[in-house]
Amino acid sequence: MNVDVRISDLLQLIGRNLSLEELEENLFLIKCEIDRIADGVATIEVNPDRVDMLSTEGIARALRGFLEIETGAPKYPVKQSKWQAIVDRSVAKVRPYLACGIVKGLALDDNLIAEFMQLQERLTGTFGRNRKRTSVGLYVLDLITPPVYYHTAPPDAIKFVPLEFHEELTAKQILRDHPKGQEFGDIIKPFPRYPLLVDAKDKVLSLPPIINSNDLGRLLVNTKDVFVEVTGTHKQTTLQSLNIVITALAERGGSLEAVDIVYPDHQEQLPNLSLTKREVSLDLVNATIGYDFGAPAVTRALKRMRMDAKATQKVIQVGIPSFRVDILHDVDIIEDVAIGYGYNQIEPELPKTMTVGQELPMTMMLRTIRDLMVGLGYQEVANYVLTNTRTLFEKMNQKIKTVVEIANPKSMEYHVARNSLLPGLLEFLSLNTAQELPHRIFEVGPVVTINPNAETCTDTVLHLAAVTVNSRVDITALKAELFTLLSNLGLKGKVTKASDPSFINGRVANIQIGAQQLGVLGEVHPLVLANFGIEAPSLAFEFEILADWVPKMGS
Amino acid sequence: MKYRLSEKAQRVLDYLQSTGRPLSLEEISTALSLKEDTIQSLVESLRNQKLIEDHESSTIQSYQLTLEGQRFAEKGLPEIRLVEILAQLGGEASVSSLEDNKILDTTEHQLAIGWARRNGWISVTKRGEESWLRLSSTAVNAISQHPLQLALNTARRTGELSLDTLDFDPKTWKSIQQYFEKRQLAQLISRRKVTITITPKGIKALEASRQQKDMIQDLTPRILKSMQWKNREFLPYNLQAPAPPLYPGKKHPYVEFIDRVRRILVGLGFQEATGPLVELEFWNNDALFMPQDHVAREVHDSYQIKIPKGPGTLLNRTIAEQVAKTHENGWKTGSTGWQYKYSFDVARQLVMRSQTTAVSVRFLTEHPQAPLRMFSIDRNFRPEKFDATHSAEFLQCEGIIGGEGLTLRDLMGYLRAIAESVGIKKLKFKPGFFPFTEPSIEGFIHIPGLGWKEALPGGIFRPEVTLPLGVDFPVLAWGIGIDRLAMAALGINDIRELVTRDLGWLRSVSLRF
Repeated sequence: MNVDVRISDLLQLIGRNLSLEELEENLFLIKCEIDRIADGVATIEVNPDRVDMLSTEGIARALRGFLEIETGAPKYPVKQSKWQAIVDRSVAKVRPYLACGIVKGLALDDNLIAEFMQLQERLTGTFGRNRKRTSVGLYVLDLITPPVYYHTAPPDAIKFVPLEFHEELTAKQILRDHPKGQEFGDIIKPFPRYPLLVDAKDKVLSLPPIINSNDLGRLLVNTKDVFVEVTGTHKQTTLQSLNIVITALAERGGSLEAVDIVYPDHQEQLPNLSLTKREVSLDLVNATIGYDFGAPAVTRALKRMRMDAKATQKVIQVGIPSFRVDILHDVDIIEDVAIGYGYNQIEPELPKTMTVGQELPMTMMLRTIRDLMVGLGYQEVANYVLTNTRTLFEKMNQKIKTVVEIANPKSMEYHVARNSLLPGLLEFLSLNTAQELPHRIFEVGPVVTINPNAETCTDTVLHLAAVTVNSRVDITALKAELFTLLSNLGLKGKVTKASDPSFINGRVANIQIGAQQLGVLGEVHPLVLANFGIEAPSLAFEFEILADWVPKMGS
Repeated sequence: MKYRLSEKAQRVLDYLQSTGRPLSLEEISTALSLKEDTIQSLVESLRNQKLIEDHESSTIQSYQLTLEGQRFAEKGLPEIRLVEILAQLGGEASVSSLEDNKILDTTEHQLAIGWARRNGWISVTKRGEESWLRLSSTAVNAISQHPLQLALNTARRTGELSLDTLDFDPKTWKSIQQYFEKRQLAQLISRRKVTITITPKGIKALEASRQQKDMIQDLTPRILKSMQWKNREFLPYNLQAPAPPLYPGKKHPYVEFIDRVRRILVGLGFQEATGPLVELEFWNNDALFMPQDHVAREVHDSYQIKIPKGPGTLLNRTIAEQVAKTHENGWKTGSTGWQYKYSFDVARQLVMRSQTTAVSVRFLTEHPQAPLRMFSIDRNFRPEKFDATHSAEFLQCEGIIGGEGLTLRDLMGYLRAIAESVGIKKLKFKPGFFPFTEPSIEGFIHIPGLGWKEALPGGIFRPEVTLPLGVDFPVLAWGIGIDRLAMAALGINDIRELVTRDLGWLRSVSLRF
């Protein structure tokens, strides 16, 4: 996920003048990469686990720690306020959770407003699962008359001027006509009543998670005090999103004030920025990274990563800041120890365990088959598994059979998985008619067949197919090649009468290997040749390679 | 004289000299009863040696029958056949009675009536419900020696219809051409026609060659047995002459590259594994601790399957339950889990496998014993448009190393060893992120001219991945950007060219990479 950052702004927040190389090197070591730089703006790639770094403030906060300008968990005092947000029972079924907070004493300009919008977009896009889980709104505090109400209303009864519009629209119209309504409308469409945030004068703040109102829901230049609101369907994500946004604003010098969220059955004071405690064993840290670190080295590394850490003998007590939403397990803390220590400082170690390498027996089998086919004078080709029914069936003069079909194809050229190799080979040949004859090609590879009784309702099966095109072809020679191949694989085969619309009637046979009928051999039907635009007679065979043919050794 | 003429080349030169006029290749081919492609390569080589030269090179046009044209040449034009039938039936018949009469098939029926009417050969009248066809007085005469039919027949006999060998008057010929086009019976094709003559140098070579007749050309068992070679001279060969290209059977360079990497990994002690291309969401994602609403699992990042509908089967119920609980609350792994309600319905859905890691977790489930090293090079699928850098179908190469006491430093050591074994010398590490590993690493390799490129991702499987599968020791996981390596090795800069459809390229590409 990319974040655009003004470099001068970033350096000012860090509080140290770094050269571009130093900046790049340090970012690299805390999981970020500079993707490109243009006009003083760096596009920084942030890993999707660190949603707290989706803003200039978040990146600066991490770098300040890593550079040891300021270490340990940052402190964000939250003052009491009289603000309340009242949650109606009716939101429970639609979008049950609300989290709010207040930031005072900011100095907003166009750049900052654009940056906060970016944070909001990136955060709700990833962590908020495209606003399904959470969506975030920022407001000019002075324009809102407390308390704020979070309730629901029928779509026709909701009427306000949405952002980027000049006239009043109903919620129904917003979902139909507003770009954001079209993009995110599906989240609330199934519900008879839509969630709505209004103030005490019944003025609309927002129709979450779609769009804010143009009157109250917009940050203005010179705004000092900001009201932040997050709604969501997942409690933890809702609270954490508020923490990420509000601590980013605090990094800009804002002071935080709490809002009481009044649910029908209980009350919460937010934001809750207290640290989460975890105890990690020093031995586990060392066993995972592969060093014999003492406790001081570990606590120092964690503090560089903006965590609180102290040690009691062999236990590290860690305080995890409220914006670090990626810590699920001790291993997440251990990675921070490694990052805080510096990946560039860690010496690779030569592996000690001893194991015996081994190919799959089928790999050996396939290699033998490929060697023999090359010996018989065939050129190997490789095709995709994905293809289309026109090539698989229509051009082959076959009735359409059931094959694995993709529900969300990107292109109708590639919307099914092949169940045989021959159509791909003929397609290959159709593109090479200008090449000197003869054309002799083969492919060994997987095809997918449907099997309702299998674990995945399908079988992935290996096939071999070969085609010869020449001005004159000799089917006896092809048969000789097939039987030479089989006998060199220690297999007994025979051909039996068959009819197959891809081949000329009377010049096609089934290939039986052992007791099973596994494939087909014959002279390709002129209609099929015409469909592929192949201008000379062609012979082909294809058969399935069975798993139990694999060599006996090595298993 | 240095030229050593083959027997066939000598015959060609002989014939050119004896006729004393420019000849086309067809003429030579017929006169000497040699195959046309043999003549072509002979002429090519004689022309290169300047023993013959092109006298005239022109483009000639001729008509070649389409499939339909061929059919009508064989069976007769449908309107002519209709007239014949009507004549047999006494000059009149109802349409339905003709339909019963199977001489014309259904599609031809319309054609026959249509064209016969246009030509004024029949008239159509309604009698009650029935349409009746009646022959006109001129029809029977008109169809005998009908020019269009004659042209078709000639074309069928001679294989094509060249524009200058016809005895039609210009007006008739013009109408035949119009019919060819309108009815798509024949197509105009152009070919280059060359006539050649022998050069003075060729005459000299021919004479020299004749003089060399008593020298040994082909050494035969008979000559060896009779010891004749003792008294005769050997005709020298021109070994400096260019040799014709050959197209032997060859392996595909991309498949061969993959096979080499495979052998390197076996050499490093890794055991190969594979898995199904159509996968359960469970193995593709859930077992990797990717929450069921993870963005990478949405429609734009993985191919969902319409047919078969599924659901598939979770064969190991215990492991499925353990994975479910780990997602919900961490189970016994020491994790908080993802704090949501896990769905077995989602777990059983089918997807095209989007990552080879599915193979790794399947392998771990079946081999939960340390020490282990496994690798897999296999196909994966993601909804991408095919372009120079993206492919909806691609190979991933990845592996796992399991054993007591394995560490992050060991992982770095393995990554370095793997990189070195495929020829990468400069490597540096950055912390990375993958949903299923922690700590995670990204190995950057230095490619001259391109700088540092991400190529070796890795990490230690999260306990949330290993413990639910019954694996209680650390498992290191790594991957190689195998398609990128293959492109570099083969000198390809468009990912689609890895599965090239260019036979010429495959025939000419060097396998030394």
